[in-house]
Amino acid sequence: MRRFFWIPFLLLLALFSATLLNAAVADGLVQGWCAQLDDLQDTAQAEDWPAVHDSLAALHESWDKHTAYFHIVLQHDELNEVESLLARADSFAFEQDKAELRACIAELKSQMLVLSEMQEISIRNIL
Amino acid sequence: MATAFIRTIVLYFLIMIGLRLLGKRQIGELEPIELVLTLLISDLAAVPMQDFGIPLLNGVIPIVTLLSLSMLLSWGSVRSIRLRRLICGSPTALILDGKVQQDAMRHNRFTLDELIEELRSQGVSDLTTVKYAVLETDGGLSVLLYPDEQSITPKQLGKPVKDDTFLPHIFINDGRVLDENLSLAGLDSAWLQKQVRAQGYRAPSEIFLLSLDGAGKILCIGKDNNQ
Repeated sequence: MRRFFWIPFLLLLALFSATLLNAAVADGLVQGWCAQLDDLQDTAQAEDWPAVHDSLAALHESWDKHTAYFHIVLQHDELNEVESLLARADSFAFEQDKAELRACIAELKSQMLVLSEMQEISIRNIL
Repeated sequence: MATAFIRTIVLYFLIMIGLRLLGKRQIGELEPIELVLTLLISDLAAVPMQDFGIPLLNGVIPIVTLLSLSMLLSWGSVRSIRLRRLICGSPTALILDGKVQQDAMRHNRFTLDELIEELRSQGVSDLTTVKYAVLETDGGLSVLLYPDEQSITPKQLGKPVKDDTFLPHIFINDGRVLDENLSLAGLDSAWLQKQVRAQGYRAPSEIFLLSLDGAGKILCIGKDNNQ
């Protein structure tokens, strides 16, 4: 009889823990990317284009490494938006268009923050 | 994920409370716990199934959460009468000692027409023959007639009755031999082969149904020729 209590109780506990862990992992990853984007803003402002290309490549690599995880836990529309912004940032960096690149990086940062916000437990999200 | 988890819990209890407030007659055969589960799970499963842009987890987490909550509430309601009453409600007598309980009917939003309809569906056309009519927690109506309106049983007549009600063991189902049932009945395939031949068949595959009841009566139905 006790298993009818413990099995669902432990399942709920495991699910809740997994959701908390997921929120923490997503937030950690997004904060790291946002720091990279802030650096990228500074490098773009200084028009250090080789450094911009390197930073963007590093950002791509890190994003690609975690893209499967985000596809499992997040709505794919939001991820497609980030990927499209990354591609646009690449093309602005290639054209060395400072103004467009900086605007695109700002948009990318806010879109990435959306990914983290979607996972956090907040009254705003729940309601 | 966390949002899906917490939203599921909030919506589950919200719908549960809503159904309890709606009253028993809105439920109809399912307990509130089962109805909420049925309502929500079918929808939750359908969304990630159709929309590939939504992760499967968005369907899996709410479904597992709902099943767990439902199991917990079932466990709690078995252990606590108070919780059971809170979740499922309690049966209400709509007719008590032959008297229609108008307050109870109003409270459950049960009209006289619906009561008469329910009684008719159970073969009762005369309201005065009903001693008790109880609206059960699943929305069904249980009707008990006055003793002089009920069918007479052999026990009431004081007549002994031979117990000839048995559960049959099915040994052949659509041509397939059910060995487990044979061994449960303490029989073997040699006995079955003998019975098959005695019934005029060559092999079990020619038989649609072969069963044996506790009184030793064998029922054998052969397959149609076109099968």
